[in-house]
Amino acid sequence: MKSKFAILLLVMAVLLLVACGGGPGGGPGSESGGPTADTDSDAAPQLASELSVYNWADYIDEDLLTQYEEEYGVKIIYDTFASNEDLLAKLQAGATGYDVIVPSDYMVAQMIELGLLAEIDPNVIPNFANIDEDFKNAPFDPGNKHCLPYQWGTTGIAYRAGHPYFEENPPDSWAYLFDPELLAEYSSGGINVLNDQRELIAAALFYLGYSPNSTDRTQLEEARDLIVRAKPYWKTFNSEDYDDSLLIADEVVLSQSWSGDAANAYWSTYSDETGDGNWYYAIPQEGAVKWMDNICITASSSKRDTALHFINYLLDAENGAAITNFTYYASPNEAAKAYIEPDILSDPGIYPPPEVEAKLQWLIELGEGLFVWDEMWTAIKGQ
Amino acid sequence: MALSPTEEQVATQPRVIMEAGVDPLWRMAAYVSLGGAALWTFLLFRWMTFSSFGWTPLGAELALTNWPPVLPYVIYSGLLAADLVVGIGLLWRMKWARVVGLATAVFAILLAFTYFALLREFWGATAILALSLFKVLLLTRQVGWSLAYPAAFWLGIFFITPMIIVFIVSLGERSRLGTVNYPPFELDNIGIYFNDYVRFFSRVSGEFIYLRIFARSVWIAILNTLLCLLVGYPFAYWIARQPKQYRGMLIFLVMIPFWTNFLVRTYAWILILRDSGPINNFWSITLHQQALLLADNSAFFTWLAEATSRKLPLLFNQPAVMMGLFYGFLPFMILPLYSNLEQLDWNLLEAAADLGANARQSFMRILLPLSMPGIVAGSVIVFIPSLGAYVTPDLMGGAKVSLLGNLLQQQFMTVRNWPFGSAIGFIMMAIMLAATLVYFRTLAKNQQMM
Repeated sequence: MKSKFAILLLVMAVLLLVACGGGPGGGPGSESGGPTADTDSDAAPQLASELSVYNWADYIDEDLLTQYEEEYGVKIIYDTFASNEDLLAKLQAGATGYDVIVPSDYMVAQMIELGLLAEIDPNVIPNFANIDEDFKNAPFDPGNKHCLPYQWGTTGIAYRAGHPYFEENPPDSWAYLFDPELLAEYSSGGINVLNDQRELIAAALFYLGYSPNSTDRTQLEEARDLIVRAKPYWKTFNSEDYDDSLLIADEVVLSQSWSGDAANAYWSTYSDETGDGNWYYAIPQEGAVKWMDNICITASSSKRDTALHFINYLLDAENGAAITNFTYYASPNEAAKAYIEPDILSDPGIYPPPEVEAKLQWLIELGEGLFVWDEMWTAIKGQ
Repeated sequence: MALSPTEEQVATQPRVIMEAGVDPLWRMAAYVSLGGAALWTFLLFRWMTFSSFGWTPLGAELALTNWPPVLPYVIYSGLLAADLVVGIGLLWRMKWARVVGLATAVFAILLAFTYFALLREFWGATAILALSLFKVLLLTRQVGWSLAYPAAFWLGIFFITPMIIVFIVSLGERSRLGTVNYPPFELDNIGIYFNDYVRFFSRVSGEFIYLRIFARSVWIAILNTLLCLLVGYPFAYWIARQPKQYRGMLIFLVMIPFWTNFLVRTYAWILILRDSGPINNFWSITLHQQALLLADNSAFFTWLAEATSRKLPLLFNQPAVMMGLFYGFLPFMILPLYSNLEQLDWNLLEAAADLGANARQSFMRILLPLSMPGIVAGSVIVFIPSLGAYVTPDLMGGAKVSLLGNLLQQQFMTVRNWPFGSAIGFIMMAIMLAATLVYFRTLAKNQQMM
């Protein structure tokens, strides 16, 4: 009896000895590769072993990621989302583990307010100097305290080249998306709109001559009615893979489209024989949305130094050009222009001329007005 | 070995009582304790060798880095020591082991809650809680609860707790930034908590938007259930009447599609049905060309040439959604119907025929009542997921029209109105609960009849 008790005590004593003898050498945080690694940035930064990047779908040349992994020994865990709202919903639901994210302008403002973004000093990133002055210090993030510009573009209309109706009437207005009389001419070929609350309602507001950031109920109701009247002529609401599954596959003849997706459809169908692609892109005369996506670090990230190092890598002139050459979106990286393919630089759909650029507007955070937008969107989808 | 006689006696007393062996419940508790001890040893080992092995850190371990590195050692080894002592003590039939076991288990439960409150780390807290609660039940000899424990704990953690959270969220209101605010509690103003439920059933800018979506979803779910039943019943009947050696094979064939993810199968349907898919290619190219060649011969081919000059609208509309749902849920109708029909006593049908019943009579009065449980089971299993269908209307309907599932997704993902989304979720859950109750009622009635 007593001996058994003694054995127990002995086991416990040994265990305690082992436990204390291990000392504070262990624990995931204590090694340089650990998740709480914190090093001063002027020395060669000690990089974490992994970095989670959460980006839009098809929004980077993935060779760049492999190259970064090989060069710096940091494993990139890459994941994609389809809309700003998806990204925010995921972060707000408590998803941790993402280090680098790429939200758009109005979403940056909202995320800053929610405290989801880490504050950074852009001047510790050497390649920040590559960025065009026009894109620094954006209104949604004064002083680039949270984010650095990644890519920018516009939202316009992509249409099928060679379609008999568009040959004579190239779509240069939002009317081609909303006017039932025009729609009746070509809607049998299929029309897609972006499955994105802000973009679709903004397009309707442009057509009606209102601000794309309107929070006025009567204006928004007018926009809703316009959309509901045009909706029977539309085939799909898709903003995720429409360039591949609808445009290139010829399932539609006209689509509301982001500039780079239209360019992707153009270059994917480009044939050397004709010297042309199947899809053209137009920025409607009423005006259009201009947006910019931004690289930010999440507030919950414990690998800020590695994240900053990665951001610096993306802002490198050649790498920035590689991204644009892959995505066909314009780069805010001034130094990258030397490496971007001339076809892209001269494409007015990607780099709009000044007179067109004057008509472009940012989407800004709606505040309380968001409730009215939500209501309109539900009504549009519920019809 | 100089024990005083009184102590010796006290210590030996329980041994006499339990000479036949250790109480099975306590033995189980001992094994649970030793299992726990093994777990803590493993975690301790990981913690000690983190730098040399480069383990991928678990959530719990990441959370623990917030504390000084000595604390995890204390926690792990403390839990390990307690579990080891209790486990071995119980196996050796020590009298104190039960008390110590109970005390450490209760302490560990408190520890789990403190740990969760401080670090918000769910899995670690759940593991400690699960093991300790089980030990408490075993050591207090709650036989019934001990047997039901694994299932009950699972339901409690993964079903009831989330449901309570969803309900609480549904009482709040969305702030401008999409977070959830709870109005201050006032007795005479308690209605504001249920604003979101009221909103679902009321007019929004002149229209019953949500009720319309709701009605459409219910209609589609009912239609889909009927369609599945109409096709699934004869099919299940046919399988059940096959020779025994083929039945297994046929049911196996019904289940083969489940080997592929539903999403992948839906995409396959999109490829088949789209304008440039095989069906439309056959229609508007092959058939069209042949019809053009023959167009002069008869009016039919002229008409066919005209008809085939347009693509068939197979995708991105309501019928396509119906098709996708029907395809997806047909096996769920066939399987319960088959398992019901297979057990039928077919002699009853023969007897009915002998007594002069025609085919229609014997179906209506023998087969249908007897297969009712299968029909109800299949219908419930098809109806409930059809009501919440989300992927199919989004992909095959072109995301043009919302059903309840899409409305729900939209509230959580796009609009980020969690309270309203939760309220919709709760309303849907109530409907499904009603459907399930109908199922059990019918089943009970049927069993009474037999």
